[in-house]
Amino acid sequence: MISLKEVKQKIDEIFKEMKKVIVGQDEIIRQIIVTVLCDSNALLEGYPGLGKTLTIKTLSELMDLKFSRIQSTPDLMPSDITGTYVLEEKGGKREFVFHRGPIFANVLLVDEINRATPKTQSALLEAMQERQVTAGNQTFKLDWPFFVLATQNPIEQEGTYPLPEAQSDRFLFKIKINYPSIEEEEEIIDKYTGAKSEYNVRKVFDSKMIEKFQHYTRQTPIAKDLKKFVLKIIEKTRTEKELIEYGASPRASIGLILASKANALIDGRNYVSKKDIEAMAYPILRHRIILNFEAERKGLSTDDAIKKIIEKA
Amino acid sequence: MRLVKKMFFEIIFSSIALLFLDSLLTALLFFSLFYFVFTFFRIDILFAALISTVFFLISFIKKIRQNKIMVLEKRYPQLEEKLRTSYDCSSDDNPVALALHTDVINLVTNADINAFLNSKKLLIKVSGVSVLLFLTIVISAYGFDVFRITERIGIPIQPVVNRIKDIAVDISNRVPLRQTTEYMENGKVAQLGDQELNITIDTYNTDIDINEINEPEKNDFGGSFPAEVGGYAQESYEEDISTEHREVIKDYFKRISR
Repeated sequence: MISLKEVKQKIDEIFKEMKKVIVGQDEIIRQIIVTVLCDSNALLEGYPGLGKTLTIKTLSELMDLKFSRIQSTPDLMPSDITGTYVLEEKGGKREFVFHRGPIFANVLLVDEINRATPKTQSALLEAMQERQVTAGNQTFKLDWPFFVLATQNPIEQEGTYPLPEAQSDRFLFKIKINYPSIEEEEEIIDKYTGAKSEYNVRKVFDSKMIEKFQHYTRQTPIAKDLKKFVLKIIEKTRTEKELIEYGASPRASIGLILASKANALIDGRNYVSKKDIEAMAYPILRHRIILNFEAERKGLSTDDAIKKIIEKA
Repeated sequence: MRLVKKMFFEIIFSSIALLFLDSLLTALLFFSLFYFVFTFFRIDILFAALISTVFFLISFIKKIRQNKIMVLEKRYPQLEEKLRTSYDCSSDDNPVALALHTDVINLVTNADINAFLNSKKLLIKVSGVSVLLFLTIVISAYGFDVFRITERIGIPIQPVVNRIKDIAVDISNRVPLRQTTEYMENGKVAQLGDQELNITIDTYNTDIDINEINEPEKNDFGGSFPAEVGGYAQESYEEDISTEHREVIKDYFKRISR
């Protein structure tokens, strides 16, 4: 039988190893771990230089996962992501050999996804959904586990291709990364301007353990009244016309329950609490609701709208 | 899994039993209170029993409808959210759910029974019942009631109460209030010559003011009627009556004039 203490111990080890490299950002690390436990993908939004790439790279190292990174530009082609056929000579014969693209990794970091063209975005999102790539008349299954962590820059939106809502809905979370506090920034300076500036992390997880923990996440029980609470929140996003133009889809309901289960497991609990749902509602709903003009005029953010919905639910 | 289902069955059964006893005790308290008051006013005990029975039924049904698992969670905070999750997922037998069921079973087993009973309220109710019943026995034994007390202080209310009872009985014995049939079955109460007079008396709007009830007034007919009524002959005449018959006729008229 599972010992929740062991699960909590492992998760605590992840945080401990992450802290060797990353200063602060505990909530970001937690949400990325929740994404991993839910076997899903996340969208990270933050200003440049906040350690998004470093966080994801470090996490993939301690989880013993293959990491690859794509820097999106407007001239990025779908084949640059998925791979392409290359004519090679083997034993006197020439044949087309498929060279796998960077998408064939366990953790794929796509920087500034909103810079890629819609065609390239679609190729990536299709791979996320189907977990396979089709090239020519052949289909190639992607490795397992497979997570896409895409980043977006909230500034410099000119000449970009914002993800349409139907596509952004496929990401479980939209994680907001803020500036560190003064104390944290001081620690960052001390860490990265001293004699030693590179830190190694030891492997804490492997893919088998990830698979086991993903099963535990789905097995975590949730009470009926909490399921109804989740449904009420999602329903409010569709009926609260004073604030919201378009509400969330059933994917949000599924995502919120899974994320709450994962959050409970990270805390070492074998049941979902109302606080889990309230904490996970923000990253789940941020990119799934569209504020109406009145709310934007009042200067409300999506987080403010989500807070009001939770209070009313 | 079977064990956790058995545990929840026992919890629900025990909580229903506790709710039943609690409602019964509260109804008994109400009965004692009403019995005490009604004894003081010489009202039948049946009314006290009726009121407390109605209260018991309403209270028990209302409590039965509550979510017993939530009620238990409120009284035992360590079980908060765990108990209802385990109850809702009692059929799940995966490792995480089984770990939860094990935790809940351990917590329930170690729970103090006082967590499910409010000892203070229980004590107050039992004490209240005992005191009220004792007082009822005392006032019954010594015959203390509101009528004796008011008589002693010079405010007789027994005659008023008796009068009210009489009026109530009188009203209830009469024909039903909103009658559409005629008062005396036959609508012809009086007949004047060849005329028929139909009278219907509506007793519904009759007001009886007990303050105006007294002995009937004697009607004085003095001014309208003569004190004596008599008759005398205004004229007389002689007939050809024989001498021996005149004495007989005189004697006859004297007799009828007496």
